[in-house]
Amino acid sequence: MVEILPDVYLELPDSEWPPASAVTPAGTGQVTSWSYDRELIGRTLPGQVRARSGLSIGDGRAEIVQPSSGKPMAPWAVGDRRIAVGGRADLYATDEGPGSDDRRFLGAWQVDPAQGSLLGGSATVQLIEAQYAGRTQPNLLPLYTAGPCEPAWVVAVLARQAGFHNVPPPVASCILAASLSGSLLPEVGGLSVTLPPSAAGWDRSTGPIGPVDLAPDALIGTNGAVMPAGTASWFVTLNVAGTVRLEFSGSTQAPAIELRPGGVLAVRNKLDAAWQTTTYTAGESDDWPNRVQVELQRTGSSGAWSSVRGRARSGPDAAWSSWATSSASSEQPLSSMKGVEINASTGSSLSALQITTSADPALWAAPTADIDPLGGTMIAPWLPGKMDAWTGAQEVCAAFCAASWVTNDRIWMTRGREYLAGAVATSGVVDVDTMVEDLNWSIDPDDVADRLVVTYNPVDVVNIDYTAPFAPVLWSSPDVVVVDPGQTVDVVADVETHGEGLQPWLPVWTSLPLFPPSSWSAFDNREGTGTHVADDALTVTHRQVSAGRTIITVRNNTSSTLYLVDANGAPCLILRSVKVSKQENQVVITKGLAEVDSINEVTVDLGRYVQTAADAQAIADYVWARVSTPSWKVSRTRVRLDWGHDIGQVVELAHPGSDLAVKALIAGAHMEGSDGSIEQFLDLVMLPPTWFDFDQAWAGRTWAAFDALWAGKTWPDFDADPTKTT
Amino acid sequence: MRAGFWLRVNDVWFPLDGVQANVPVAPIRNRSNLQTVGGFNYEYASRRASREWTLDFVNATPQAVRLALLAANGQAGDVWLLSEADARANMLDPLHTVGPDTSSTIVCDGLPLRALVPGTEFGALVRAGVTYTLSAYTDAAAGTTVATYDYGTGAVPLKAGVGTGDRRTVAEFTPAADAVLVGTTVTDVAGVRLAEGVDDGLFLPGRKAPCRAAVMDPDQTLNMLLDDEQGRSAYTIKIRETA
Repeated sequence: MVEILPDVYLELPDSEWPPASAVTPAGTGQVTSWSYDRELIGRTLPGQVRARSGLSIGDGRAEIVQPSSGKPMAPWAVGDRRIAVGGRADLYATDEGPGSDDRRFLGAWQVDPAQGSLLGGSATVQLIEAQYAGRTQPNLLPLYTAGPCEPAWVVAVLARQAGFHNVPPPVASCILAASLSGSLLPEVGGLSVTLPPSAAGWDRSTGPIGPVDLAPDALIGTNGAVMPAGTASWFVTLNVAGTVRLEFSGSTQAPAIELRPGGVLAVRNKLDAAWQTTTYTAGESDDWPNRVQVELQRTGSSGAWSSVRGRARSGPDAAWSSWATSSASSEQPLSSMKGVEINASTGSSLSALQITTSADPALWAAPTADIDPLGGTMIAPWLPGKMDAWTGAQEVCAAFCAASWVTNDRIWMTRGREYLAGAVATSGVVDVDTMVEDLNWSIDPDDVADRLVVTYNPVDVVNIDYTAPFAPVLWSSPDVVVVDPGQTVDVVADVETHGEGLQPWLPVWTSLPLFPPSSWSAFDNREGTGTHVADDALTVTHRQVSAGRTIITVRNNTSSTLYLVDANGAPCLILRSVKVSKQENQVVITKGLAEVDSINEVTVDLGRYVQTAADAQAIADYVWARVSTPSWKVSRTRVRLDWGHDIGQVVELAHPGSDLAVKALIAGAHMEGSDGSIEQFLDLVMLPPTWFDFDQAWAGRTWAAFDALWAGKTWPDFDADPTKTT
Repeated sequence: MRAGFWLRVNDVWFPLDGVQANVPVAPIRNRSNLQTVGGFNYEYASRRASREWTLDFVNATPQAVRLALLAANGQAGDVWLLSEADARANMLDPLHTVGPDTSSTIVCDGLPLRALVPGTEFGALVRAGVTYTLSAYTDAAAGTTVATYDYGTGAVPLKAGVGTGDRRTVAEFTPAADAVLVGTTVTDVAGVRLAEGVDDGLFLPGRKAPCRAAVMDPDQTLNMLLDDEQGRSAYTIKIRETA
């Protein structure tokens, strides 16, 4: 049988070029030849385990045909023939023509350089994966001050910056948005400091990451909006698993809703009122099977809020349930309902919460990122201020031996080290006899270590001491800041540590002993001689743009040029905070032989992202298990064309003729195509068996079955690892 | 022999008279393959085969081949080639006559073929005064519109005929002017055929006629030059299908 190959097109959604042709609309070019290369590469790990972590950023190439008539496409052409680079690009294959929805996407890209010639019949477009957009902007990781978070939260925030979302982004009418993807910090609204929340853990029972057993109630503040009276509505949209309660502020008079298993919505107008329930059909959204939207309305007036009613649905086009109305009169005034307490019962979870004043369809925006917990704890999540979003995600993933990549279907995937170790069901079998051209294996003794040294930087918290008095310095200017008369200067302070509660600014000579402020000193000369300026000569403010960067704005209110120096002429602009989480000390964990006996030592620095001893020890064990024995890998092996193969998948590699049966991670994928030919190549990393595999094999069996299988076997058989070579 | 080739130059059809018999038509379809460790062979092929016609003219005057000469010089605009033999078989692009493997099958003239995805567009250039037959196979209920087609005079429904099961439905028409026929399938149909001539009851695979073409520079052998006449030459002209 002959497999007829599809056509491949390059679509530039926001572009006029390529011009429309007889077979393609404007902005789409027919591709004559193409290729792409994507692989997982981690900076942190050595040798054969390197390919299991980090963040993929692949590249590709597509040749698109020049117009058959008229002027050619060129950078100097005008209108729809002008080639512009940098825009988004979709490379896809289809049997149905370029206008069809029947598309097999071949990744998410942006146009990098393009080349062509006047006489050539085509132009070549270089492609780089869309997440590269994250390289062009400094990270905007918010300062998180509510206790430990899951490191996946950092990845989710940075993925959003790169254009991928694992939960619907906040919509225009949003008054509260909390992704809850590894932290409780809302994107719209604020966290209460008086009711610090805690979660027993993080899982994906709701779809995206969400907190499990969220107690005591976490209070998240809205952006100041209050629930209106009458028929105007609040819409509460969230993903739920189990039983989740939301109370609109914390008094006994507060209205509340509870979402229960089986599609039950319960509402009450105050704490001691009976729950009133209604039932909705759950799971009507294909993109969000655990998502539910509740419409709330309240009637009454100040001091006598006679009722609250709510109804629910599970999809943007799904039918609403009937109303559940709680008519017990409440004294809770509208003006104080500026927050919501969220609570997830034992084993329950919620995620992707938004409270809005309209039922915006974007509340159901399909996810473009699929992010797993990374299995760790960050006490003080921080990235260097000038680090770009993409690099930040790469660094965090690499430190936790996790990986992020973008699939052919243009979904950002993040998977933790357990997944990458193969503790997951395989996505299919690659039968070497029938699907592989040849198996290009290699093994390198240099990848084997007899000693492992893992380093990490634990967090030392330094708090303000009002009795000393003392406030830790977060940053001080290394240079003299000069401000011309009447001018304003922005000073970029890239803070080296996680700092909470930035202190207000006062001159150094101001006496305020109990609250050591952020301070400045200024003179009208560079040497700092003479008398310092008046207290109101400068106005100094700051704004924290990320956990690693604060912008300090200094305005000169005088008619003289001012120099921010102390009396000795040294720079003087000092940012202080209530709490600084320093990571100056390094802790070393070793595995294997003593240093004197070691021949091949491997050093892994987990940097400042791994912050707890438990995480560092777990990662050290993980790495040691993978570098202490030799393993083999398969590189650039051509396989039978299978559109389902993608990097990050775990497959079973089988060749009965040579007794090969092993799990393997697709760590690299390369495809190249032209008219009548599409070739697919894979890089495979072998994965030793895990307890997950044992559990799967054991499911449904009995000890009698085990005995039958065990007959004639010995412990070495049990320990046999198909990836080992010694 | 009447070879039956036409060239369309600047939107007007001209017959290519004087073409000798035995015209070779060479299809070109790119292919590749993969041989696995176990000796399994997989063949891959392009969706389309482009064709090349080699037309011979014996003792032809420059008047007879002037269209080809103009086209080879790039002075004839958007050139289309119509092979009447292909047009009598099936004028449609083969991709628009039979559907993907995921569709249900419909028996077409004795052949079980896959139905097109509803909404599939098909079309071809049609000529004034020529009778055409549009036919398709469907299992839709009698009277159901299975496709629509329009050759410049408004959309016309192609309806399922009487009876049940897989059966043929046919429409004949004669355009009053040259036009682009555009059709769209509405329900599951397979074996779509647009052909010159009255209905012959057959289904034949798509031949994509007419098609855009590139005319190669003619090979010329000057045979004779008589007084007061144009020279007479043997010409060999290659015409290639283009996108």
